[in-house]
Amino acid sequence: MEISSDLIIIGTAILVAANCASIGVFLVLRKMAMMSDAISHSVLLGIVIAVFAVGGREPVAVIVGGVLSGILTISLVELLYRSGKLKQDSSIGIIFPFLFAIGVILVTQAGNVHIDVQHVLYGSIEFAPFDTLYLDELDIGSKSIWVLGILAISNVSFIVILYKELKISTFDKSLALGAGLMPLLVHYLLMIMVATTAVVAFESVGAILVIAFFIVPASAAFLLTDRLSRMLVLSVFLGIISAVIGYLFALFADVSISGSMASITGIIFGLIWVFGPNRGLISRWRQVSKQRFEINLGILLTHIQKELGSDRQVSTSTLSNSLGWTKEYSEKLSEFIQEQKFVEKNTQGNFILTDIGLKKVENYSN
Amino acid sequence: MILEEILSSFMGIFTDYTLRYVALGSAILGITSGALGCFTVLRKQSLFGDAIAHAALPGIGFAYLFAGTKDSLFLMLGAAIFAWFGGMITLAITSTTRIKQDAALGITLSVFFGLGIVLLSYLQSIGGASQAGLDRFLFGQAAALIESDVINLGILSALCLTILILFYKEFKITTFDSSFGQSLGFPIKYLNALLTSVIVVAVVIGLHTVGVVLMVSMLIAPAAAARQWTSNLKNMIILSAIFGGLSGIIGSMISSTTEGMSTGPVIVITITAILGISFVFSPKQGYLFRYIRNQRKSQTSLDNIKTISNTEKENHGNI
Repeated sequence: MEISSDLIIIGTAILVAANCASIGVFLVLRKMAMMSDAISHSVLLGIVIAVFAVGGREPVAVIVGGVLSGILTISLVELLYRSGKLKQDSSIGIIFPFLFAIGVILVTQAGNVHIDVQHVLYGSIEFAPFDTLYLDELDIGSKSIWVLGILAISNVSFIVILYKELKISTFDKSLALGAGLMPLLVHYLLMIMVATTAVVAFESVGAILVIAFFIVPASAAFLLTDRLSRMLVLSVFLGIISAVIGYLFALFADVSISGSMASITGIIFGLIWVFGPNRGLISRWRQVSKQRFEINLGILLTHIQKELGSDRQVSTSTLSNSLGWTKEYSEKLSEFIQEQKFVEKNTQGNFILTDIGLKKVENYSN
Repeated sequence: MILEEILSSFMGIFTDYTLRYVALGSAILGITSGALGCFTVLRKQSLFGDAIAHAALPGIGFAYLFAGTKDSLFLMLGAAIFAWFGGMITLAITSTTRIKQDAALGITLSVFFGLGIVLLSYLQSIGGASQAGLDRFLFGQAAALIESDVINLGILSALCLTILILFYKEFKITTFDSSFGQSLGFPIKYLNALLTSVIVVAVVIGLHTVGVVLMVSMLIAPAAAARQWTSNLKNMIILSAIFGGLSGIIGSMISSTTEGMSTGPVIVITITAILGISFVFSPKQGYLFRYIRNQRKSQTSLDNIKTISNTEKENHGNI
């Protein structure tokens, strides 16, 4: 099987992105995003111990070791947190650096473990094409594609089979408990899937890109939709887009592939944050200024009616004084109300309410 | 034999020129992050330190790219600017979107770190980063500290601690009851910014010794350990600084005994061990004394039951 190495790298990255981004949706919604930070760091310890125990980088041993250390991390964090001695975030911030530090020391001190400490952080996806899997001495293609493909199938089946349970326990834990959907079991299953995904992805792309793919596309998707199913699809889509663009940029600029992919997830998030429909900064700013304009229009017309009612004159020049607006803003608004024919100017240049204007004011006062 | 080695390494602080600076640099970090970490823990912002430490990495890359030197002051300035920026982005995400704090921290952490790696790999490809040893900021390499670095770290640390002492009352009130502080007329917004800035400086100091990845531990663990022994903020800060400094010295000594061992992980393991000891031995909340107290309590209640049943027997004869 001859597949170009570019394709294998992109394929690996796409699979990592899809795996992490789908599971990541639940992490973001359940406010457990930093758990992925903890797990993806501390799996190093399990991987190193597994390599020691087996004497080589056997994929199965590595995955089992990593998942076990992921579960160890979760249990230790919950133990500390439930003991009441520390808050949850403090527990996370203590447990994972500790386990990671032990892992780093083991790696640097043991000569026979062929893991580069820096590659732990930013992976070595560049070498994915050279790491092939053999079945009865038959080359069946890239190892990472196989492993990640199997992971993708299990992740998809996990989400599809437990969709209802995941959904309800994410949004309404007490309902899930009452309906007998076993939220605690779902929680631990989810954590196991996170750990498995983190280990497998960690092997090919390193801890940081794992975190980026877990959290960033899901958060971006969260800004775009209210539906869980759409959020899942969008998150995976954004993850894959980031992987592809990131790879192309890394080739173009000759920089780290995983760093570039992580940066692209951030850029895409930033674009959605600023320009996104409905929830983007710009459209929210527009909504707010539109609302402010509506409110000020109401204030202005009621003000004019009141002043006229008590026989005082209102003109553009008196507005900024009595309503505390800047001169420009008062001019802008009074032009607007004349254009809309809410008011007319009499011979002295003072405002008189028209019939349309009177109706509008009545609407406000109701 | 191990004891002998540790002892000789301890003596090394006084005799070995390099080790003296390594231990001093690590102690400075431990004291500063220990003292300031109390506030991050008490404000439930523990992982904020993790995010801003990671966010500092591109700052180091940019500083080297533009200034072209590996002078630690320039690198620290770049790191501080980006750490600050990362912190602001995190706050902006949580205040302008419905994304919660944990995800916002994760976004800042991973994206900024990714950007940092892009920069480092770019510098490597144009042939600079490996000479400048920028990758040592990942896990810290206190062994690379020289006299001028330590002086810079010392000045920054003194600055942080002076601000902490001057604004102690204000920081205390913003931490425990910020709305009360506001009603008293304290400029809470500026005080929060000032506190964030000193924490950023503490993080930047840590980049040399423990590196960006493990920095969070230096902020949380000493404070959490100190919290086990006292409920008074002043005592907690002092104790936390002592724990931090101690773990810096012990950690750098242990790592100096072994060739090629990064200082950061050893310091982190040391401070976590101190935390573990505090969990067990602290007089009020520790597991040991709680166990003893519980034993005593059950013993007394057992005795009480025995006395009662004995008197019952005496009064009513055999039941």
